Amino acid sequence: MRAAKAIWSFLGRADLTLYVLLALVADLCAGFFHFRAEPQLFGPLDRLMLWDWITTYGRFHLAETWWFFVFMGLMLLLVLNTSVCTINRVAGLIRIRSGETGRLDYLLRFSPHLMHLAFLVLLVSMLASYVVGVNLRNNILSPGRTVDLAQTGHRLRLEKMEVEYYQGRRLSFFENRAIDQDLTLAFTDPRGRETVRHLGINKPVRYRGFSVHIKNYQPQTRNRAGRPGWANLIVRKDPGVGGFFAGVGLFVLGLTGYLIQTLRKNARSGPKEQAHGPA
Amino acid sequence: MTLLLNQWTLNAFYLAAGFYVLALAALRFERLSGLLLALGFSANLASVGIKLYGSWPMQAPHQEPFWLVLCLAGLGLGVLLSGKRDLVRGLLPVIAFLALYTALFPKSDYLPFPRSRTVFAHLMVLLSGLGKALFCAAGVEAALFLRRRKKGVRPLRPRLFGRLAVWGFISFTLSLFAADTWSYLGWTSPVVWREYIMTSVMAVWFYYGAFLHLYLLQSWSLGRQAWFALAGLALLFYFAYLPETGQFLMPRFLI
Repeated sequence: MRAAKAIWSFLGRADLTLYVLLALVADLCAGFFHFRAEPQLFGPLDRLMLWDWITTYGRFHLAETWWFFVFMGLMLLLVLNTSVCTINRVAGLIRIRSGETGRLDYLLRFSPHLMHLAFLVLLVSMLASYVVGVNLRNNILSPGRTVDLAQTGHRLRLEKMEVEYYQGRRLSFFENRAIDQDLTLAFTDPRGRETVRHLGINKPVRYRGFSVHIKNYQPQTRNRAGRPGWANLIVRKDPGVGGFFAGVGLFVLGLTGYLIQTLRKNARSGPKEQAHGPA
Repeated sequence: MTLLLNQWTLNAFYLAAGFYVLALAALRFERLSGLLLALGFSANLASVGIKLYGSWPMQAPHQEPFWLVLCLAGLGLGVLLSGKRDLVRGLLPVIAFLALYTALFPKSDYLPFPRSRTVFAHLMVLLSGLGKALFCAAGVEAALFLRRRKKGVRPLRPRLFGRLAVWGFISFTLSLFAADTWSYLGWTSPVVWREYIMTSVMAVWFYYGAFLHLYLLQSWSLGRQAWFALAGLALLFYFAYLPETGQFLMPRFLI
């Protein structure tokens, strides 16, 4: 029990946050040089699950990838430190209730902890994205062709491709080049029910937990427009992405709360500061 | 047309860099220096405006150094108007140096691409440039704080460098969220392992995250906090600014 208390107390120390953050800075600066020297070792993290990367690229190139493992260890320590700190401080805030300040001031005091919570949600979601899920790349389809959605019984058919070519003279390098795509996709569930969605560049399509993105396409220029077109699609089932953006939303909410809190504090202390001299 | 616009972008920036250097040289004459800074800012604004005109609705890669100098000059003008003249005197050498470096080592010949046709690509560049400019200003203000303290003079604005760094952290964090969103829309994941710069971007975020904790908890003395903010300048320059610049390019008017 005493050991557990000591560990809890150690993990809740505010100076630990500082040391871990600085260690992360040093580690990432080292990673900067390794990544720049050997980008081909880290690029596969986009298409492999974390464990697959660790047991292949990561494990067999330790001289270049060690910083990534240190990074994961430090992130784990930061997650533990942030969790314990947040629990301790939120518990303390709940105990003191509103005190002499108003209800809004009391609620605003939770803002930094909301940011901490958001940070944890972001990290756990990122981990989920890299540990579980589906990442099917290179689904090359021409109009009329069909692909199975990760053997779920759901199917995806490319119905139609409409290319938007740049027309104008301002962007001369883009003259007659494709600037956007409108791909009509038909999803069919195991019962034969069809759902139609439109996919474009920067406009992924979501369907039953899957997301479909454009990786590449042809034609890219108008003078190849007569030739048969195709689209290379990425099909993903990423259980972390929703949590990630929820974390982003929470962080922004916490940040806004913190700003309001600071502005209210400044408004209250402003006249005093002015009385002593210019700020 | 594109090549012409690219050259105009650079020419306008050479002009901006020239004005910034002249503003630094004319430091003793405050009004003249301020006027030259304003002229530099206008030329800088024209440079990024021309580049945007030649890329819109897309965003050309590696534009951040131009935006960073623009944001720093804008901050300098704002600070000048608010009467903090010593901070402008501290900022001008940084503005002139970064402008000259960006002018001579630009990475400006990359063309925009269809995936950059999103508001998030534009937001990322603007907010990241602004965030880094605020970090730079925090470093300069911290240096002024330390100099005054060394001379035994009572610092005028003991908490300003901390406030600047906090605002920089907010802007930089929002730029990362814009980048994450763009990355998801264009490349399927909020984090894409393509560019080694992502490691240094994370390093900068953690560094100023650490500063934010120091600032809020006040566990370090103001002097140590100021050294921390000052050291951030070196990190920013080597890991976040240099990778966005290119090889030496002799200005055309000198050839």
